Amino acid sequence: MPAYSEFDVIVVGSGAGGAMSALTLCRAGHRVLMLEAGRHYDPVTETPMYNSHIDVPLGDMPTEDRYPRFLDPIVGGTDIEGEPYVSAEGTNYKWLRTRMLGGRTNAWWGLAPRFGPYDFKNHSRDGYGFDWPVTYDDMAPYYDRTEELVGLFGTSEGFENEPGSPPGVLQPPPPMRSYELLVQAGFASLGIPSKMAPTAVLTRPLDGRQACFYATNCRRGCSIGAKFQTPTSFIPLALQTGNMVLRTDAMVTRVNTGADGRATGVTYIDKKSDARVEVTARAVVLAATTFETARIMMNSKSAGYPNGIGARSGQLGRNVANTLNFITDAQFPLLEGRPRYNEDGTSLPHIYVPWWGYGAQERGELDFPRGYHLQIYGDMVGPPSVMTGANIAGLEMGYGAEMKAAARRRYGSMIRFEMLGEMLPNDQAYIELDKNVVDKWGSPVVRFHWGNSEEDRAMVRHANATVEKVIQKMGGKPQEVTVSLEARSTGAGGSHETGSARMGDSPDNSVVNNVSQCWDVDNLVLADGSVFASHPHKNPTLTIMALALRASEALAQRVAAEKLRGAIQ
Amino acid sequence: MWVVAVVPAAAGAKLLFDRAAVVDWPEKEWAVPAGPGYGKDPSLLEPAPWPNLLSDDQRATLATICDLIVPNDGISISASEAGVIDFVDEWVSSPYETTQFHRTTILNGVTWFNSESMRRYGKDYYQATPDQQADLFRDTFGKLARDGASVLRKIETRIDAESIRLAGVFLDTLHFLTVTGYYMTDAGRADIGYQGDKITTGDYEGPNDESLKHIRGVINQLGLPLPDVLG
Repeated sequence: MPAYSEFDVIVVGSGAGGAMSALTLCRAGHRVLMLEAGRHYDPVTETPMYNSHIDVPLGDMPTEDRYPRFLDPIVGGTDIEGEPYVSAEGTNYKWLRTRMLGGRTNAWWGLAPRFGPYDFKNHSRDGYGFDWPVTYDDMAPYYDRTEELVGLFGTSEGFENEPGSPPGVLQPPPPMRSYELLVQAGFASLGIPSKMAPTAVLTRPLDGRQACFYATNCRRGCSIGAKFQTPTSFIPLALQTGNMVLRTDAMVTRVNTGADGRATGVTYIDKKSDARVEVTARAVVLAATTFETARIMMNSKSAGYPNGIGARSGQLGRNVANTLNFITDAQFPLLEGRPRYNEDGTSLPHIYVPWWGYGAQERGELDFPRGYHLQIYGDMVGPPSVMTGANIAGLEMGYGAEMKAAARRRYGSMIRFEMLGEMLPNDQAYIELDKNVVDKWGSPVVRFHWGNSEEDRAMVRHANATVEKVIQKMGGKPQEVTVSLEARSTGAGGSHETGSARMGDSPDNSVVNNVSQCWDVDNLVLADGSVFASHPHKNPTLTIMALALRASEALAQRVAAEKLRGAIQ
Repeated sequence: MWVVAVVPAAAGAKLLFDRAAVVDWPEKEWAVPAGPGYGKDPSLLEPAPWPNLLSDDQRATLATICDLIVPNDGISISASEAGVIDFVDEWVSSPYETTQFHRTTILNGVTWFNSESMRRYGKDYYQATPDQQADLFRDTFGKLARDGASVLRKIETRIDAESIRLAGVFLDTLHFLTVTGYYMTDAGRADIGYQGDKITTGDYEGPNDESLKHIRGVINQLGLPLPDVLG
């Protein structure tokens, strides 16, 4: 490393993990350079908060230019010009990437459950997969502090493997909506408890961010900072310390290492000039997203690391998983013509149905080892759009005055059930560098291989059967399923990817240690979903941030010690 | 619940029109409009940047059909009164492959409705009498028998002329766009009683008393356990 660098730590990525790391390091007094591959993005001025769908191009419908919806705050998408990726034969991976400050925190839906004690030690419980090198007790204080920093509402019932939060951590939740109470009753009749969804939306002001005003859809992003996004929270807080320099349009291609094998910094492409820029620092944090982080490591080849950094254990790029997911819509005659009120609330589900089958699994009654949860949506939440219009008055309702009358009756009687399930990492699912394809700056790109286990499929069938049962209990009629469950729920299209550089107790079977420090390069830390040692069904962002907080505090101490040694010498 | 006045020929009943004489479906290919599109990274605050391309005659024909789908029923205004034709125009004028099926179907459908109206009534569709407009509309609505449709309905569909069936697909497409557009407008939102999208100061109140009473009744009727807040 050169005698002097302007920066102590380079943080690659400005999403959940990168921004948490940068804020932590800045507050510890270290000088941070944050590099974001996308453009600057300001939710305050760019969020279409108040636009009515009829005034939005094509009523928010996706096109080849904008996906999944026009209004989604996504700069990027599943196809980015000049930045291809490849699927191996038999795989059709859809990789949703952003190229914007704040990454996918801008577009996320804010559901933020904690992982529980089982989630970190499931291998010991059921023999599948791999235990994490941390326990829930190790993580609990970091969850507490992450929740306070992020601003979460929820309740703390403490269901099995669904830890609550200590008093005073969570903000007060909004009430459940009318149809959510029916859903709660329906699940309760099957012995399945449900609770408030722990959600990253402020109901009380925090750090200059306003509380939710219960209008417009969180999915568009939030100009008042109520829904957590890093450009309205961690990034300005980090900049306020005076310790951070932010560079956007800076696409990192590799981590550079010195003769001693340690990281000296990174090389990035300045996208505005296509110039290749080398920057140095005492340490590097990669939080570029699960697959991009692994790609950067694989592309960081040198004489000392002929296969890239972190490749020694053979686990780099393996153990990847993504949330298994399917949707069932149903219509409930008893909800027809129900009383109207402002049902928007936060725009996100207020109810959450955690996994309940631990006992049945211990008794050997189920043919899959892990769990899923259900997220539930009502059709009266948020103004009608091109995505919901056909539900209001379908073709089968005919036309004319009769159709309008039928629409008035039916509106409010549709409920959507979405399953999110834990995928088991397996040998068919992994990423590597493609041998032929490079991006427009000449860096080899990701090649996806994907597969699912019989256990994954059994879980999806179970979820489908459960949803059908609860719909029946609620007096509803499920819509016909036109796509097979298997085809709909492979996890190859979700945005919860994890595991490409898993953490573990030994450099022989993992890429990073229990504070996300690369075994091979001790001043390289990973701070995104890449380090997950398994893929719990619970939405990953809160845990990404809690792990990033823990990892960057440990890194801050190491960097402080190194600076002290340098001062003494 | 199909609201279609088709009498099966097998029953020997009188046909509503002469199937053999129906004008052919125009097979015109329509190019994807030049745009401009909004691109990959537009301002999300701006309306669609491309010009609307439909002629006054095309818009008049569409307005007639859209208002048969969503009429002014004395309770709320019609599709065209709510401005839905602008939405349809924007849709078929959009420079995207995504909308190409809709564009082709709708533009050819407008042509076909006017040609068939000319054959039957000697006038373009939008200039025919309301009864004539309703008759032609009813003859063609929903002529794509979908999975799950009754056997009778599938037979009815098969004996229809190809052009009638394609006109039915056109109306199905337009039905989707009309309904979708209408319920996005202020008039449509009010019609179904949507009360959200209002900035609230203080906490979200949740269901009102009437709504809580209703859902308590539903839960009791189904014999489900009452959640604590309703207890």
